[in-house]
Amino acid sequence: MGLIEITDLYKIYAEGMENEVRALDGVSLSIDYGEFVAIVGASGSGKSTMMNILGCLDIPTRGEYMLDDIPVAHRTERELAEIRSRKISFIFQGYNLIPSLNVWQNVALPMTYQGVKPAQRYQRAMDALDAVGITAKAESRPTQLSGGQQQRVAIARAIATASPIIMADEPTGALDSKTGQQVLDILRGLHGLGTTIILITHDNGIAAKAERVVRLQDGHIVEDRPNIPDESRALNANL
Amino acid sequence: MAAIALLVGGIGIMNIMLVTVTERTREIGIKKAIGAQRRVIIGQFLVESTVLSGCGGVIGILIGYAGSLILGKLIYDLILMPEVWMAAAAFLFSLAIGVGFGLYPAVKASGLQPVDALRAD
Ligand SMILES: Nc1ncnc2c1ncn2[C@@H]1O[C@H](COP(=O)(O)OP(=O)(O)O)[C@@H](O)[C@H]1O
Ligand SMILES: [Mg+2]
Repeated sequence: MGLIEITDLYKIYAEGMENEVRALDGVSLSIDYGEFVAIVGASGSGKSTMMNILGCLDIPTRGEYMLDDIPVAHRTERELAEIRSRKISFIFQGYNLIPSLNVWQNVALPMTYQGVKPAQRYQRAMDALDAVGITAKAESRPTQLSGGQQQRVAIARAIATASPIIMADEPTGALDSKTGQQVLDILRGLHGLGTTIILITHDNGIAAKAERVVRLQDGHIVEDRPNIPDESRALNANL
Repeated sequence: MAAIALLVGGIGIMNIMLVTVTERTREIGIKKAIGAQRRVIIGQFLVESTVLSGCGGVIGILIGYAGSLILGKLIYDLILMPEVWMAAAAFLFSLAIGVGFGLYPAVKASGLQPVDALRAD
């Protein structure tokens, strides 16, 4: 069995009402450890809803979700927090850094929830900031940084936790294309190190960076195919 | 006089606290997303609001004493001192208001699904 198995999953807002929205309308999907999957689709197709459920940030209306062979529905609130703490890190379009903490404190915060010793937190935060090339800003406040820098801090926060899974919802959505490219390169690098990456995007060009593309349309999966990332293709063409 | 002061102070604290509820809700959403347990979030808010409103209470009492001494001297040419029970009541009142309104967003938002707390704006 895979890492993530969802079967006939629904997320329905205002069910039975006039304004009912079937954000996920019976989807089944399986993702293995180490995959780099892009979930792609137009705005409103259900991508964020899917990521939020896969990431245990939200609960489905119906359907089964097995994470590591255990039904998520049977987990307690405590266990779900534990899963988010140990297994999954998120990267959001809007960065979601905490404004009252400086950069390295933001990166270190999830480690406090993991029970990492204070002495190690600072070092690991600085190492993660180093990996995304932004140690010089360690003492700055998030609001003093550009969007691209803030997103790199958010990635450093994910790296520092050493989560096996990273879920990114439109991580380049608020960035210019060059900065966005840097962010994607960092994600590819993490995938190369074995991290499972689930990348949400409305942009086919960005989805082309992944090794598998799952396409959503109106809450349905309409396509699920392996993909050869652009860079590998270019490499092969040169051989 | 004292009752009015308490009322005004209480309303002031309440306003500040309510304004920050949305902001705090998002922050709690972020903390839940990055793995915080509910009890950790509530505990942090409890400590924070106790310290803040405790300090506020002490400062308020000092200002209150200074104010009555100065005004008493100027207006009545008497040494007026608020009674100890008044100061104690004011302190407890500010502590209760501060902790109550400090804990309110934490208890509420930490019980939401993280996605709903993150959506707050
Ligand atoms: N909290 C909510 N309440 C009601 N409808 C929602 C809510 N969240 C999302 N939706 C609706 O569900 C659908 C899918 O949304 P979403 O998953 O955010 O799509 P995407 O991320 O692909 O743009 C949209 O029609 C959206 O309006
Ligand atoms: Mg979305």
